[in-house]
Amino acid sequence: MVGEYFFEYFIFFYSSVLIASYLMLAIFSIITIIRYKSYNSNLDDETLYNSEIAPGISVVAPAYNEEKTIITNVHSLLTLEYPLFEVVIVNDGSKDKTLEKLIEEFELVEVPYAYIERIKTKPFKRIFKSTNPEYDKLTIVDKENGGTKADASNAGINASVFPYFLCTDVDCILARNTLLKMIKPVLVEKKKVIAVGATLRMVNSCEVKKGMITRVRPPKDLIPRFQELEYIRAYLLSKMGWSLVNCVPNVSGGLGMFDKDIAIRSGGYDGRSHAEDMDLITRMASYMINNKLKYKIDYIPLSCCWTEGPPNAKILSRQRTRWAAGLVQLFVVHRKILFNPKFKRMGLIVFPYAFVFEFLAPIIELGGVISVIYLILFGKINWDLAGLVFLYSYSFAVMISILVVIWDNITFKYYKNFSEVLKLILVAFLEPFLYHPMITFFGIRGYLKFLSSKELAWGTMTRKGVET
Amino acid sequence: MEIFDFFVNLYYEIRTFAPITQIVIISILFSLSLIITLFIYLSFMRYYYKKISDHRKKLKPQIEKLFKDILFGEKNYTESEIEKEYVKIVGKLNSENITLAIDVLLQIKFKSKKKSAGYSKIVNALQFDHYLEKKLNFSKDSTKVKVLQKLQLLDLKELDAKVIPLAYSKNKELRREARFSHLHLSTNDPYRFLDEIKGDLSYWDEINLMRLLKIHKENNQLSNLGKWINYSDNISLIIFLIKAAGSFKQEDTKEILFDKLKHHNHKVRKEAYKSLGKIHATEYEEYLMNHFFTEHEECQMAIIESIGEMNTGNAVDFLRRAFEDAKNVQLKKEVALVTYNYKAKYNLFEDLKSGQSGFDRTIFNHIETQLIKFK
Repeated sequence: MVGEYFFEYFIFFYSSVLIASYLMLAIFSIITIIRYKSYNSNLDDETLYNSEIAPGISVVAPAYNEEKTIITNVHSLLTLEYPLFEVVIVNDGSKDKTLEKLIEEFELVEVPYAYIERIKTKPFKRIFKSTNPEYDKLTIVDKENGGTKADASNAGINASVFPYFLCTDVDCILARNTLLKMIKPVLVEKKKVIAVGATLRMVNSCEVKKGMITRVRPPKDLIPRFQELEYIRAYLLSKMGWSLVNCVPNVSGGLGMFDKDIAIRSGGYDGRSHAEDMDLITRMASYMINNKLKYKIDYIPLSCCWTEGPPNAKILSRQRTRWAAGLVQLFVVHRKILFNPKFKRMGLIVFPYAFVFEFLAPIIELGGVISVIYLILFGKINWDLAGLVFLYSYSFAVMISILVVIWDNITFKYYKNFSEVLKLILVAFLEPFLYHPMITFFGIRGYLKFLSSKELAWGTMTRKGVET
Repeated sequence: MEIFDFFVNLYYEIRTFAPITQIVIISILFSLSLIITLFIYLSFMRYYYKKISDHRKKLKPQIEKLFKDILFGEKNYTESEIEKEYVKIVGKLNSENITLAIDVLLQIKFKSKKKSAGYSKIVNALQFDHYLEKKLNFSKDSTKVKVLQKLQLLDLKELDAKVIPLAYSKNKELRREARFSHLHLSTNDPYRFLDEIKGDLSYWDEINLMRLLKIHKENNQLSNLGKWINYSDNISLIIFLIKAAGSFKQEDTKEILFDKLKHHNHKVRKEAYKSLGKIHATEYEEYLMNHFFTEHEECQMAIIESIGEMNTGNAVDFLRRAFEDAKNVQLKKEVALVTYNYKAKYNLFEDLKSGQSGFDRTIFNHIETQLIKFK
């Protein structure tokens, strides 16, 4: 009897711990969001924008076969509002016309550049600067293909000149005040802030003019809309919540600001990693802990970056398989950190939490599916309890999703109409049936791919491009 | 009555279940009721937001037009005329409409750097001071912080007395903002809180202090920062003030800065070296050159920068040796950059460049490439 019900009780226990952790994160995140809203205003942006001593920021964006979107997006990056910044685009040996288009549009010429290889990368070929003074902030690094975004980002970091760098994808569209908003936690905190993240959203269905978002809309297609909700939940609930106790596990590769010196001392992005963003944060935090230096990884609740989400299951599968493989790789490479008190919060909270509730989740869910099938086949299922446990998790999942939609509305009302908010809420009800099983499946596939050592190169995504 | 009976029966039925089932059912009921509550709250929040934003969107262009006319137009408005015209647009002068007026006025002020006597007329006519004073007295701390920022931007010096008690608040954000506001608004003793800064300054503090000192400088009211550099025991504050003294070219602080070159903390020395360069304290150039080779790496960079700022033409041999001895690429770049702009009897830059090969040669090519904005 106990054996038959073991899995159901185990699932109940697992879900309960997860629910408790979500409730805790919900409380943490609302404290952080209210604190952020209370002590930050647009007047601060004005102060910073007019400051002569604001620290410089290098915007680093690697590009591989991005001919469809590169021009619009580089223009967009050049319109960022900040008193001192540069834009470094790394052409990672693109096979299409990415470089040619850049040369033509921005009137580029090759220049002699004292490029210092502080982080080892695949050979750097040359650097281009614009002859048009309008684009004097732009630097193009041309290098041999390194096979990963990490290698390209490292080349960008090497070529950058300022003490902080903002790493983004060249297909991302940033809000104009991104730099002003993201550097603020670094400036305010007396402790060394080694990285800052912000929320990413889907650009699908948004209106974009001249590389700027002019109207935010939830994606029309279901898969990107699921992701919009997933991203908001991951950033506003999880990462914002963890930032209160300085336990942020990851700063997204799509948008993250880093302390360059610490990033370089930590060895930069790992070119062999499939989860280069989480890997970098782990190594930066380890570096600080090993050197007994106090540090903070911070998050701001604002949506600063819009990226094109996978429009269909095939492309989503490619992306999530890669992420899942990266997660296993992370635990393999940094296994010493897990449950290691020497690594303090990272070893005792960040890693164990990610291990139990991110890494193990797809495996447990797969186990659940197999167990349910087995019990049904042998007529041993306790339908009442199974139904209740399902409803228990489902109602909580929907409630948490609605809660983060409210958090999002407290932070900033990105959607103009309430009907658009309702569209997002609708997917909260559908997500556990349609989206979540897919994510679980892709996760398991990523683990298997990693174990069978199949190659996972640059996260190439077939892009439609954004209409401008 | 039937509903009541239903819930009573449900309660007793639930109590007959196993404890885990009871927990699950209660959690489900909790989640469902929260879903409904949150949904109602969200609908209300959106409705309220829409109402406010529609109201603002409707009135904003008219208010902006009126304010621009008052500020930069030809007609000379009296305060009562301003109030009358404003009320004509918004209906009545309540707190919501005063907030809107302040926001619009600040937006105009940010966009247009032109000065106008109209600003104080609008402030007085719409009684911003009374409104903000009330907010300072009766709001929560976070609102007070935002009010203090507005006081600075609107230059409401008459509210300085209200600011001082907040400068001792337990809330560190409020305390910090109140001290900034005092530095901006006070006419008697604006620098009083410089003596009371405890602990390290954050970069944000430095940005704000620099902004406020700049305003004092523009109004010819900037004190000699030397006395705080000399007597403060807060290293972080000393470093900032040395930086400020250099930025504002306070020549009277030269000797104090020179004293700081003997400070045990290399960050203090580094800033002092830089500021002496900015002030063009050429009499100390030889001292700088003599100490270069024994100094901390960060100070070496500062000395090179300083020699470049002084640009006397007397450091040719020193710069050549500094380049040849430099082990650090950044330092080499800095020396090359200084030699590129250096006035000398002969072209030191070309001379040094011609003797280089490989990466060192690239450094010189990099420096002289005009297309590279940030060297």
